[in-house]
Amino acid sequence: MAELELEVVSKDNGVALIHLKGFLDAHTFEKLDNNLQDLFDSGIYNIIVNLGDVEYISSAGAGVFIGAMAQAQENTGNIVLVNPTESVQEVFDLLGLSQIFTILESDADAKRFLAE
Amino acid sequence: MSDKDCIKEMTCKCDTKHLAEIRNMVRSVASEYFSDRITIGKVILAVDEAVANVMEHAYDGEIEEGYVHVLIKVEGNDFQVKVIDEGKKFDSTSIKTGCIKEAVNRGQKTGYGIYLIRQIMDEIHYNYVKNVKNELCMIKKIAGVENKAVGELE
Repeated sequence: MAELELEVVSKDNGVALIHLKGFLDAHTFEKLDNNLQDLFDSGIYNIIVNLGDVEYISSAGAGVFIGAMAQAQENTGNIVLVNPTESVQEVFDLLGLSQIFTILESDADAKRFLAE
Repeated sequence: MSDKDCIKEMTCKCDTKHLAEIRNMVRSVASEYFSDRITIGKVILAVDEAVANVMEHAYDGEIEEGYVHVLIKVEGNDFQVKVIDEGKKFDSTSIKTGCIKEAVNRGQKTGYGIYLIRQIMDEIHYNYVKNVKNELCMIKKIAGVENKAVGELE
């Protein structure tokens, strides 16, 4: 079965770093949604999501990022995406999300961006 | 529910755990007709969105009750995928293209599937037979299908 692996790699200075691996679709999106909500509930609104190992994303997965971005921005936070695969980038482009999200090449770049 | 000309078909319960199996089936057939992996990925996405929509909405979440049928066939240069269910009527006009930017800007989490299908597929036909079935037929044009046919004969 196509699953989603999620690891909260770090939570430092109000910035969380999440690594995702696998498939982000209508079957798995709630796992990400719940984890992001947990971070918001703990007061962390700046979140870096590394998508380098995400093989597939559907609109259900993209919708999680859209909702999370709105919630983060309401709390002066941000969602920064890192290293999306070609197929993930394609879906973001189709939905026009590439203009809305900051998409960077590495976790270090994302951390620097949020520290500015 | 079978179609005599279909290349491949699958019937499964309306449980999103089956989405990966359906994507794999679409990939196996689409890879025979499209050389560009971006196009293959888009066709898989369109079918995934249509099937997920059925699984989540057609039977009001009663997964024990509902089934979804996916049939793939090729006619000329039409790569055709039918998604069929026996659930409630599907509102194919629910998401208009122009609304998408507003929906994203207000942080709307759902409702992008139909928009993606419209972006990806060349033709979409929806048929509802009252109290019998919903049938969504999606067509992606195959480029250079004549050349492929000649190559196969050789």
